[in-house]
Amino acid sequence: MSVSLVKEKLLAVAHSGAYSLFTPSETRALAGQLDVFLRDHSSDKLTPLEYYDLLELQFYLTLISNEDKKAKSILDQLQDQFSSKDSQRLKLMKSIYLEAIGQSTEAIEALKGNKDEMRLARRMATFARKADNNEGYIKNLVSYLDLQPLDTMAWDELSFEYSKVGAYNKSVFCLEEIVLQDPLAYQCFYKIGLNNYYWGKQLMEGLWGSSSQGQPKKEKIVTLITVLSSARDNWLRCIEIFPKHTKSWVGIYLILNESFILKLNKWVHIREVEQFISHSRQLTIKAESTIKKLEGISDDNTFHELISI
Amino acid sequence: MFLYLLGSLFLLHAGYSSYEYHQLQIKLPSDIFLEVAIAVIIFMVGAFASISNESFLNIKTNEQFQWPEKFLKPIALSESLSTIEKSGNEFNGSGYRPDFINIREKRQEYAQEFKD
Repeated sequence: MSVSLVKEKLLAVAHSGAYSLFTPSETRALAGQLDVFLRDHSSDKLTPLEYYDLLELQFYLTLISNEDKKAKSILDQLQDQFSSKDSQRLKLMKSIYLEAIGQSTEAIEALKGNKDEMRLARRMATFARKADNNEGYIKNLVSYLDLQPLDTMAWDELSFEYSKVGAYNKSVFCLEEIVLQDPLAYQCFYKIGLNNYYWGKQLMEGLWGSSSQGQPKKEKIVTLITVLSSARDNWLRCIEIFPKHTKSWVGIYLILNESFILKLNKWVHIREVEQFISHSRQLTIKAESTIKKLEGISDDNTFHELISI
Repeated sequence: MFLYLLGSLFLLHAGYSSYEYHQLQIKLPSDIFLEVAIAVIIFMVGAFASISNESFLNIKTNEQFQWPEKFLKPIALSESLSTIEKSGNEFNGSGYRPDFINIREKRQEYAQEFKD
Protein backbone atom coordinates (compact mmCIF):
# COMPACT_ATOMS: atom_id res chain seq x y z
CA MET A 1 0.00 0.00 0.00
CA SER A 2 1.43 3.35 -1.04
CA VAL A 3 2.56 5.64 1.78
CA SER A 4 1.01 8.70 0.13
CA LEU A 5 -2.38 6.96 -0.11
CA VAL A 6 -2.27 6.10 3.59
CA LYS A 7 -1.33 9.68 4.39
CA GLU A 8 -4.24 11.06 2.35
CA LYS A 9 -6.63 8.64 4.02
CA LEU A 10 -5.47 9.53 7.54
CA LEU A 11 -5.71 13.24 6.81
CA ALA A 12 -9.20 12.76 5.35
CA VAL A 13 -10.31 11.07 8.58
CA ALA A 14 -8.66 13.76 10.71
CA HIS A 15 -10.26 16.63 8.79
CA SER A 16 -13.76 15.16 8.47
CA GLY A 17 -14.08 13.85 12.03
CA ALA A 18 -15.23 10.48 10.67
CA TYR A 19 -13.53 8.70 13.59
CA SER A 20 -16.39 9.88 15.82
CA LEU A 21 -18.68 7.32 14.15
CA PHE A 22 -16.20 4.44 13.92
CA THR A 23 -16.94 1.12 15.58
CA PRO A 24 -14.40 -0.11 18.20
CA SER A 25 -12.77 -2.50 15.69
CA GLU A 26 -12.49 0.25 13.08
CA THR A 27 -11.02 2.58 15.72
CA ARG A 28 -8.45 -0.04 16.72
CA ALA A 29 -7.43 -0.69 13.09
CA LEU A 30 -7.12 3.04 12.36
CA ALA A 31 -5.15 3.72 15.54
CA GLY A 32 -2.71 0.93 14.64
CA GLN A 33 -2.23 2.27 11.13
CA LEU A 34 -1.74 5.82 12.40
CA ASP A 35 0.83 4.73 15.00
CA VAL A 36 2.89 2.94 12.35
CA PHE A 37 2.63 5.86 9.95
CA LEU A 38 3.69 8.46 12.52
CA ARG A 39 6.55 6.24 13.72
CA ASP A 40 7.96 5.67 10.21
CA HIS A 41 7.10 8.78 8.23
CA SER A 42 6.46 11.72 10.54
CA SER A 43 9.68 13.45 9.51
CA ASP A 44 9.87 12.78 5.77
CA LYS A 45 6.29 12.68 4.48
CA LEU A 46 4.45 15.29 6.49
CA THR A 47 4.44 19.06 6.66
CA PRO A 48 4.29 20.45 10.23
CA LEU A 49 0.60 21.28 9.78
CA GLU A 50 -0.22 17.75 8.61
CA TYR A 51 1.83 16.28 11.44
CA TYR A 52 -0.11 18.16 14.12
CA ASP A 53 -3.43 17.32 12.47
CA LEU A 54 -2.51 13.64 12.66
CA LEU A 55 -1.30 14.04 16.22
CA GLU A 56 -4.70 15.47 17.14
CA LEU A 57 -6.35 12.45 15.49
CA GLN A 58 -4.03 10.14 17.42
CA PHE A 59 -5.04 11.88 20.64
CA TYR A 60 -8.75 11.19 20.06
CA LEU A 61 -8.15 7.60 18.96
CA THR A 62 -6.00 6.79 22.00
CA LEU A 63 -8.57 8.40 24.27
CA ILE A 64 -11.35 6.27 22.75
CA SER A 65 -9.07 3.24 23.13
CA ASN A 66 -8.76 3.95 26.89
CA GLU A 67 -5.02 4.63 26.62
CA ASP A 68 -5.14 7.61 28.96
CA LYS A 69 -1.40 7.92 29.58
CA LYS A 70 -0.61 8.02 25.88
CA ALA A 71 -3.42 10.53 25.27
CA LYS A 72 -2.06 12.74 28.06
CA SER A 73 1.42 12.56 26.60
CA ILE A 74 0.14 13.68 23.17
CA LEU A 75 -1.87 16.48 24.78
CA ASP A 76 1.23 17.65 26.69
CA GLN A 77 3.28 17.59 23.49
CA LEU A 78 0.70 19.76 21.73
CA GLN A 79 0.38 22.11 24.70
CA ASP A 80 4.17 22.54 24.85
CA GLN A 81 4.23 23.37 21.17
CA PHE A 82 1.30 25.78 21.14
CA SER A 83 1.12 27.01 24.74
CA SER A 84 1.64 30.62 23.68
CA LYS A 85 -1.50 30.55 21.54
CA ASP A 86 -4.97 30.74 23.00
CA SER A 87 -6.10 27.76 20.92
CA GLN A 88 -9.73 26.68 20.79
CA ARG A 89 -8.70 23.21 19.58
CA LEU A 90 -6.36 22.69 22.50
CA LYS A 91 -8.99 23.80 25.01
CA LEU A 92 -11.44 21.37 23.46
CA MET A 93 -8.93 18.52 23.58
CA LYS A 94 -8.11 19.25 27.19
CA SER A 95 -11.77 19.37 28.15
CA ILE A 96 -12.55 16.09 26.37
CA TYR A 97 -9.57 14.47 28.08
CA LEU A 98 -10.74 15.64 31.51
CA GLU A 99 -14.28 14.50 30.80
CA ALA A 100 -13.02 11.09 29.69
CA ILE A 101 -11.10 10.53 32.92
CA GLY A 102 -14.13 11.56 34.98
CA GLN A 103 -13.25 15.15 35.96
CA SER A 104 -16.40 16.81 34.62
CA THR A 105 -16.15 20.01 36.69
CA GLU A 106 -12.60 20.64 35.46
CA ALA A 107 -13.73 19.75 31.92
CA ILE A 108 -16.41 22.48 32.05
CA GLU A 109 -13.89 24.91 33.52
CA ALA A 110 -11.49 24.22 30.63
CA LEU A 111 -14.13 25.36 28.14
CA LYS A 112 -14.75 28.74 29.73
CA GLY A 113 -13.36 31.79 28.02
CA ASN A 114 -14.35 33.54 24.85
CA LYS A 115 -18.07 33.09 24.19
CA ASP A 116 -17.53 33.45 20.44
CA GLU A 117 -15.59 30.21 20.25
CA MET A 118 -18.15 28.03 18.57
CA ARG A 119 -16.55 24.64 19.16
CA LEU A 120 -16.28 25.29 22.88
CA ALA A 121 -19.90 26.45 23.06
CA ARG A 122 -20.96 23.25 21.28
CA ARG A 123 -19.04 21.15 23.74
CA MET A 124 -20.47 23.03 26.69
CA ALA A 125 -23.97 22.04 25.53
CA THR A 126 -23.09 18.33 25.79
CA PHE A 127 -22.63 18.39 29.56
CA ALA A 128 -26.39 18.08 30.07
CA ARG A 129 -26.34 14.71 28.27
CA LYS A 130 -27.56 11.80 30.36
CA ALA A 131 -27.84 8.15 29.38
CA ASP A 132 -31.48 7.78 30.43
CA ASN A 133 -32.86 11.26 29.77
CA ASN A 134 -31.88 13.63 27.00
CA GLU A 135 -34.42 16.37 27.80
CA GLY A 136 -31.81 18.69 29.33
CA TYR A 137 -29.44 18.05 26.46
CA ILE A 138 -32.13 18.93 23.91
CA LYS A 139 -32.88 22.11 25.86
CA ASN A 140 -29.20 23.05 25.81
CA LEU A 141 -28.92 22.40 22.09
CA VAL A 142 -32.01 24.51 21.39
CA SER A 143 -30.56 27.39 23.46
CA TYR A 144 -27.25 27.06 21.63
CA LEU A 145 -28.99 27.08 18.25
CA ASP A 146 -30.84 30.25 19.21
CA LEU A 147 -27.41 31.88 19.34
CA GLN A 148 -25.83 29.98 16.42
CA PRO A 149 -28.65 29.20 13.98
CA LEU A 150 -26.25 28.47 11.11
CA ASP A 151 -24.41 25.64 12.84
CA THR A 152 -25.36 22.61 10.73
CA MET A 153 -23.44 20.20 12.97
CA ALA A 154 -25.58 21.24 15.94
CA TRP A 155 -28.80 20.93 13.89
CA ASP A 156 -27.72 17.42 12.95
CA GLU A 157 -27.05 16.55 16.57
CA LEU A 158 -30.42 17.95 17.66
CA SER A 159 -32.14 16.00 14.90
CA PHE A 160 -30.42 12.82 16.12
CA GLU A 161 -31.54 13.46 19.69
CA TYR A 162 -35.15 14.11 18.63
CA SER A 163 -35.12 10.88 16.59
CA LYS A 164 -33.97 8.96 19.64
CA VAL A 165 -37.06 10.05 21.60
CA GLY A 166 -39.43 9.54 18.67
CA ALA A 167 -40.04 13.25 17.98
CA TYR A 168 -39.67 12.65 14.24
CA ASN A 169 -41.50 15.82 13.18
CA LYS A 170 -39.02 17.95 15.14
CA SER A 171 -36.15 15.92 13.77
CA VAL A 172 -37.36 16.65 10.23
CA PHE A 173 -37.44 20.38 11.03
CA CYS A 174 -33.79 20.26 12.16
CA LEU A 175 -32.69 18.44 9.02
CA GLU A 176 -34.57 20.92 6.85
CA GLU A 177 -32.51 23.68 8.45
CA ILE A 178 -29.39 21.89 7.19
CA VAL A 179 -30.59 21.51 3.60
CA LEU A 180 -31.46 25.21 3.56
CA GLN A 181 -27.75 25.88 3.91
CA ASP A 182 -26.45 22.91 1.96
CA PRO A 183 -28.98 22.05 -0.75
CA LEU A 184 -26.77 19.25 -2.12
CA ALA A 185 -26.48 17.34 1.17
CA TYR A 186 -28.17 14.26 -0.24
CA GLN A 187 -27.71 12.24 2.98
CA CYS A 188 -29.84 14.87 4.72
CA PHE A 189 -32.64 14.38 2.21
CA TYR A 190 -32.39 10.65 2.87
CA LYS A 191 -32.62 11.26 6.63
CA ILE A 192 -35.61 13.60 6.18
CA GLY A 193 -37.31 10.85 4.17
CA LEU A 194 -36.51 8.30 6.86
CA ASN A 195 -37.78 10.48 9.70
CA ASN A 196 -40.97 11.24 7.77
CA TYR A 197 -41.38 7.52 7.20
CA TYR A 198 -41.13 6.80 10.95
CA TRP A 199 -43.41 9.73 11.68
CA GLY A 200 -45.93 8.26 9.20
CA LYS A 201 -45.62 4.94 11.00
CA GLN A 202 -46.43 6.67 14.30
CA LEU A 203 -49.46 8.41 12.77
CA MET A 204 -50.61 5.16 11.23
CA GLU A 205 -50.42 3.38 14.58
CA GLY A 206 -52.49 6.20 16.10
CA LEU A 207 -55.07 5.90 13.35
CA TRP A 208 -55.26 2.14 13.70
CA GLY A 209 -55.72 2.48 17.43
CA SER A 210 -58.53 5.00 16.99
CA SER A 211 -60.15 3.00 14.21
CA SER A 212 -61.11 0.33 16.70
CA GLN A 213 -63.22 2.95 18.50
CA GLY A 214 -64.61 4.52 15.38
CA GLN A 215 -63.77 5.68 11.86
CA PRO A 216 -60.57 7.78 11.89
CA LYS A 217 -61.05 11.37 10.90
CA LYS A 218 -60.34 12.33 7.34
CA GLU A 219 -57.97 15.14 8.39
CA LYS A 220 -55.75 12.66 10.19
CA ILE A 221 -55.57 10.49 7.09
CA VAL A 222 -54.73 13.51 4.95
CA THR A 223 -51.96 14.46 7.41
CA LEU A 224 -50.61 10.92 7.19
CA ILE A 225 -50.59 11.06 3.40
CA THR A 226 -48.80 14.44 3.48
CA VAL A 227 -46.09 12.96 5.71
CA LEU A 228 -45.68 9.86 3.56
CA SER A 229 -45.59 11.95 0.39
CA SER A 230 -42.89 14.08 1.99
CA ALA A 231 -40.87 10.93 2.77
CA ARG A 232 -41.19 9.80 -0.82
CA ASP A 233 -40.34 13.24 -2.25
CA ASN A 234 -37.25 13.67 -0.07
CA TRP A 235 -35.94 10.25 -1.09
CA LEU A 236 -36.57 11.26 -4.70
CA ARG A 237 -34.60 14.47 -4.15
CA CYS A 238 -31.76 12.41 -2.73
CA ILE A 239 -31.82 10.19 -5.82
CA GLU A 240 -31.96 13.23 -8.07
CA ILE A 241 -28.62 14.38 -6.62
CA PHE A 242 -27.09 10.92 -6.31
CA PRO A 243 -28.91 8.31 -8.43
CA LYS A 244 -26.99 5.38 -6.96
CA HIS A 245 -28.21 5.91 -3.38
CA THR A 246 -29.57 2.41 -2.78
CA LYS A 247 -31.06 3.17 0.66
CA SER A 248 -33.35 5.84 -0.83
CA TRP A 249 -34.48 3.44 -3.55
CA VAL A 250 -35.23 0.87 -0.86
CA GLY A 251 -37.29 3.48 1.01
CA ILE A 252 -39.30 4.24 -2.11
CA TYR A 253 -39.85 0.55 -2.68
CA LEU A 254 -41.00 0.00 0.90
CA ILE A 255 -43.35 2.94 0.96
CA LEU A 256 -46.01 0.96 -0.87
CA ASN A 257 -44.96 -2.55 0.06
CA GLU A 258 -44.79 -2.43 3.82
CA SER A 259 -47.80 -4.01 5.45
CA PHE A 260 -48.84 -0.87 7.32
CA ILE A 261 -48.92 1.15 4.13
CA LEU A 262 -50.94 -1.53 2.39
CA LYS A 263 -53.60 -0.73 4.95
CA LEU A 264 -54.06 2.58 3.15
CA ASN A 265 -56.10 0.73 0.54
CA LYS A 266 -58.92 0.79 3.08
CA TRP A 267 -59.22 4.56 2.58
CA VAL A 268 -58.69 4.59 -1.16
CA HIS A 269 -62.02 6.43 -1.58
CA ILE A 270 -60.32 9.55 -0.16
CA ARG A 271 -58.88 11.52 -3.09
CA GLU A 272 -55.47 12.20 -1.45
CA VAL A 273 -54.99 8.52 -0.64
CA GLU A 274 -55.92 7.44 -4.14
CA GLN A 275 -53.52 10.00 -5.65
CA PHE A 276 -50.68 8.94 -3.36
CA ILE A 277 -51.11 5.26 -4.19
CA SER A 278 -51.38 5.80 -7.93
CA HIS A 279 -48.34 8.14 -8.01
CA SER A 280 -46.21 5.83 -5.92
CA ARG A 281 -47.11 2.54 -7.61
CA GLN A 282 -45.08 3.23 -10.75
CA LEU A 283 -42.16 4.38 -8.62
CA THR A 284 -42.19 1.11 -6.72
CA ILE A 285 -41.72 -0.86 -9.94
CA LYS A 286 -38.90 1.45 -10.99
CA ALA A 287 -37.33 1.16 -7.50
CA GLU A 288 -37.35 -2.64 -7.64
CA SER A 289 -35.59 -2.78 -11.00
CA THR A 290 -33.04 -0.11 -9.95
CA ILE A 291 -32.19 -1.84 -6.65
CA LYS A 292 -31.64 -5.11 -8.52
CA LYS A 293 -29.40 -3.33 -11.02
CA LEU A 294 -27.39 -1.43 -8.38
CA GLU A 295 -26.86 -4.46 -6.17
CA GLY A 296 -26.38 -6.90 -9.05
CA ILE A 297 -29.35 -9.05 -8.01
CA SER A 298 -31.09 -11.22 -10.58
CA ASP A 299 -33.60 -13.32 -8.63
CA ASP A 300 -36.56 -12.25 -6.50
CA ASN A 301 -35.59 -14.27 -3.40
CA THR A 302 -32.27 -12.47 -2.97
CA PHE A 303 -34.04 -9.16 -3.56
CA HIS A 304 -36.61 -9.83 -0.82
CA GLU A 305 -33.84 -10.94 1.54
CA LEU A 306 -32.06 -7.62 0.94
CA ILE A 307 -35.25 -5.63 1.53
CA SER A 308 -35.99 -7.47 4.76
CA ILE A 309 -32.55 -6.46 6.11
CA MET B 1 8.35 16.73 -14.39
CA PHE B 2 10.43 15.33 -17.26
CA LEU B 3 8.09 16.95 -19.80
CA TYR B 4 8.39 20.33 -18.04
CA LEU B 5 12.19 20.01 -18.24
CA LEU B 6 12.14 18.99 -21.90
CA GLY B 7 9.76 21.85 -22.78
CA SER B 8 12.00 24.33 -20.92
CA LEU B 9 15.10 23.10 -22.82
CA PHE B 10 13.35 23.52 -26.16
CA LEU B 11 12.19 27.01 -25.20
CA LEU B 12 15.65 28.02 -24.02
CA HIS B 13 17.21 26.69 -27.18
CA ALA B 14 14.67 28.50 -29.37
CA GLY B 15 15.21 31.72 -27.37
CA TYR B 16 19.00 31.53 -27.71
CA SER B 17 18.78 30.77 -31.46
CA SER B 18 16.42 33.71 -31.89
CA TYR B 19 18.92 35.96 -30.02
CA GLU B 20 21.75 34.80 -32.32
CA TYR B 21 19.71 35.52 -35.45
CA HIS B 22 18.79 38.97 -34.14
CA GLN B 23 22.49 39.68 -33.58
CA LEU B 24 23.12 38.87 -37.24
CA GLN B 25 19.96 40.82 -38.23
CA ILE B 26 18.64 37.91 -40.26
CA LYS B 27 14.97 37.01 -40.49
CA LEU B 28 14.06 34.17 -38.10
CA PRO B 29 13.81 30.80 -39.89
CA SER B 30 10.58 28.79 -39.55
CA ASP B 31 12.25 25.96 -37.55
CA ILE B 32 12.57 28.32 -34.54
CA PHE B 33 8.82 28.99 -34.62
CA LEU B 34 8.30 25.25 -34.94
CA GLU B 35 10.56 24.61 -31.96
CA VAL B 36 8.60 27.11 -29.82
CA ALA B 37 5.31 25.48 -30.86
CA ILE B 38 6.67 22.02 -29.95
CA ALA B 39 7.94 23.34 -26.59
CA VAL B 40 4.50 24.79 -25.77
CA ILE B 41 2.79 21.50 -26.72
CA ILE B 42 5.23 19.52 -24.54
CA PHE B 43 4.54 21.96 -21.68
CA MET B 44 0.79 21.49 -22.06
CA VAL B 45 1.08 17.70 -22.14
CA GLY B 46 3.29 17.92 -19.04
CA ALA B 47 0.72 20.11 -17.30
CA PHE B 48 -2.06 17.61 -17.99
CA ALA B 49 0.11 14.68 -16.96
CA SER B 50 0.93 16.37 -13.65
CA ILE B 51 -2.75 16.59 -12.67
CA SER B 52 -3.49 12.90 -13.13
CA ASN B 53 -5.84 11.52 -10.52
CA GLU B 54 -4.29 9.44 -7.76
CA SER B 55 -6.12 6.44 -6.45
CA PHE B 56 -7.50 6.57 -2.88
CA LEU B 57 -8.25 4.30 0.04
CA ASN B 58 -11.55 3.58 1.73
CA ILE B 59 -11.29 5.08 5.23
CA LYS B 60 -12.67 1.95 6.89
CA THR B 61 -11.61 -1.01 4.78
CA ASN B 62 -8.37 0.29 3.19
CA GLU B 63 -9.67 -0.94 -0.15
CA GLN B 64 -8.04 0.95 -3.02
CA PHE B 65 -10.16 2.74 -5.64
CA GLN B 66 -9.48 4.72 -8.80
CA TRP B 67 -11.22 7.80 -10.14
CA PRO B 68 -13.19 6.98 -13.33
CA GLU B 69 -10.88 9.10 -15.53
CA LYS B 70 -7.11 9.21 -15.46
CA PHE B 71 -7.02 13.01 -15.75
CA LEU B 72 -9.39 15.50 -14.16
CA LYS B 73 -12.19 14.65 -11.76
CA PRO B 74 -15.77 14.18 -12.96
CA ILE B 75 -17.83 17.31 -13.53
CA ALA B 76 -21.20 15.56 -13.15
CA LEU B 77 -22.14 15.59 -9.48
CA SER B 78 -23.70 12.12 -9.53
CA GLU B 79 -20.55 10.59 -11.01
CA SER B 80 -18.33 12.43 -8.55
CA LEU B 81 -20.48 11.31 -5.61
CA SER B 82 -20.27 7.67 -6.72
CA THR B 83 -16.52 7.90 -6.30
CA ILE B 84 -16.67 9.83 -3.03
CA GLU B 85 -19.03 7.19 -1.59
CA LYS B 86 -16.37 4.55 -2.29
CA SER B 87 -13.96 6.41 -0.03
CA GLY B 88 -16.33 5.77 2.89
CA ASN B 89 -16.24 9.45 3.77
CA GLU B 90 -19.43 11.48 3.72
CA PHE B 91 -19.97 14.25 1.18
CA ASN B 92 -18.88 17.61 2.68
CA GLY B 93 -18.30 15.80 5.98
CA SER B 94 -21.97 16.28 6.81
CA GLY B 95 -23.21 13.62 9.18
CA TYR B 96 -20.09 13.68 11.36
CA ARG B 97 -20.35 15.43 14.70
CA PRO B 98 -16.91 15.13 16.32
CA ASP B 99 -17.48 18.11 18.65
CA PHE B 100 -20.52 16.38 20.13
CA ILE B 101 -18.78 13.04 20.59
CA ASN B 102 -19.94 11.14 23.66
CA ILE B 103 -16.43 10.22 24.75
CA ARG B 104 -17.44 8.17 27.78
CA GLU B 105 -19.87 6.07 25.77
CA LYS B 106 -17.26 5.48 23.05
CA ARG B 107 -14.72 4.39 25.65
CA GLN B 108 -17.23 2.02 27.24
CA GLU B 109 -18.10 0.50 23.86
CA TYR B 110 -14.41 0.02 23.14
CA ALA B 111 -13.73 -1.52 26.54
CA GLN B 112 -16.66 -3.91 26.13
CA GLU B 113 -15.55 -5.00 22.67
CA PHE B 114 -11.96 -5.65 23.77
CA LYS B 115 -12.46 -6.85 27.33
CA ASP B 116 -9.41 -9.07 27.25
